[in-house]
Amino acid sequence: MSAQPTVLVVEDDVHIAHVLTFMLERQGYQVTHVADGRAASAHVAANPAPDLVLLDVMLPYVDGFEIVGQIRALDGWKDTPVIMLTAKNTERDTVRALDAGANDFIIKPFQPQELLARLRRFLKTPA
Amino acid sequence: MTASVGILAARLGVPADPILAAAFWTGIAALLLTLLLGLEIVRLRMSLRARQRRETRALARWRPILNAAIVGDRPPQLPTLAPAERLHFIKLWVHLQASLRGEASAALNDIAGRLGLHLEARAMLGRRARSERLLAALMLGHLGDRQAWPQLLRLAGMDDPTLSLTALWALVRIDPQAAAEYLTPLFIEREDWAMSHVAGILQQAGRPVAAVLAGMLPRLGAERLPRALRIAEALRVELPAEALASALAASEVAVATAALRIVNTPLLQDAVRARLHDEDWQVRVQAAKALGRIGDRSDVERLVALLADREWWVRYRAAQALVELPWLKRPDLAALHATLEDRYAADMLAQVLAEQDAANAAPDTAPAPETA
Repeated sequence: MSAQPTVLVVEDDVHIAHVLTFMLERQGYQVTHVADGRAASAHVAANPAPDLVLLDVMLPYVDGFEIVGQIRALDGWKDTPVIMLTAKNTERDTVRALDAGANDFIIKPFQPQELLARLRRFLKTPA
Repeated sequence: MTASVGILAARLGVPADPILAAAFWTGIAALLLTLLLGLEIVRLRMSLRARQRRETRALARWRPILNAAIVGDRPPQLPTLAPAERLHFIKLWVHLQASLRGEASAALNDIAGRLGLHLEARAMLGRRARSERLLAALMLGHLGDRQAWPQLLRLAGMDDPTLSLTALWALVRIDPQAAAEYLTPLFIEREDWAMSHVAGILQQAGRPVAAVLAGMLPRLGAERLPRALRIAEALRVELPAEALASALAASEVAVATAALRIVNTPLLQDAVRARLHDEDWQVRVQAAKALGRIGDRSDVERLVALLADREWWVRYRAAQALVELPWLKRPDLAALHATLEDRYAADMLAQVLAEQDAANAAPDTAPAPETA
């Protein structure tokens, strides 16, 4: 793990993406944001794995379940912790996220401090 | 006058023939209209771009402040919110509120309160623009602004379903107890409002709604009872056993099935067992499902008997209920299957066991939608 842990944020909601990026950068993480499933898929195929992936379930073009499947199938990415953002009242999505290979999930609407605490379980530094 | 029109027509080269002249003037009119339309499109595009620029400026100014507040940095002083920024700010604020909860939500409320936006939102409720009224109702709901209650109540009574349902949502956010007392009878009455909307709005008031429903059930007629019970089901609230008992014994199929769908206490086992041999197959289906949730070991025999029911759905639900009983393990079910003499019963149990195997083998496969 590098001195500044890297986080890939896959989120299509521009306002929430801004909040997540702000929160994570403020905690000392290096954030890369992609805004849809197709871009995420291309990013996974063409780049080295980050230290953690924060992945929304509902994405344009390719959904989060498929992305996590691609991550788990790729050497170099398959051990990357993935935290998925799922909507409230969709328990089925939560189960699917875990079955697809996600390490943890956060339910929207979310508490920023809870999200950071979940991240810290997988990223020991620097927060 | 006629002479001057004639001179103008001659200078413009208007043909003397009346038909050709009419065609000429029609062409001129069409040209002018096209020009006007073009100018209007340019004006609208310029206006849109100007609005987008204002929005970009407003977001660039306020987003860092809101983001900092969300993560716990309370700014000691806030800049003045310009009138041109207000709507853009409120849209962003409402969007963030819908995605965040807890301390972050409280921090957003703090910012809005310090900017005096509860007053602005109350004023917006009285304006004609529908989008402003919607935003205002959402904002006041998130703020929990008790003083907006009478205005929201008026909005809730409007014919526009989006406005009225948004106002109802805000009322629940502001005071779940008072809203439950007002809304529960209204939602039972309004069959035209989709249950998904009703459940979404009442979600936050589950406990008060359960109390109101329990008090109302004994007084409701058979025509309103199913809707009331479906609301309880959608909100997953538990009604007191005594409130459900008479609905379980009802002669009306709609009432009995709605009650059987939500019964969740062993105290009502006998009332459920009494419906296992009902004339109506839909009642038998729901009774079998209910027994799978609340039955005891003695109910295995009853459910096995239902495996030979003349109706496919009853056999199917009885088999599912048996498979879901926590004390019947796989070897027990296999042994039970071996003892079944009725071919239909044996086939049905075998099918449900196979479905369970398939579901265990492919856990991310969504189950088939329920129809009975």
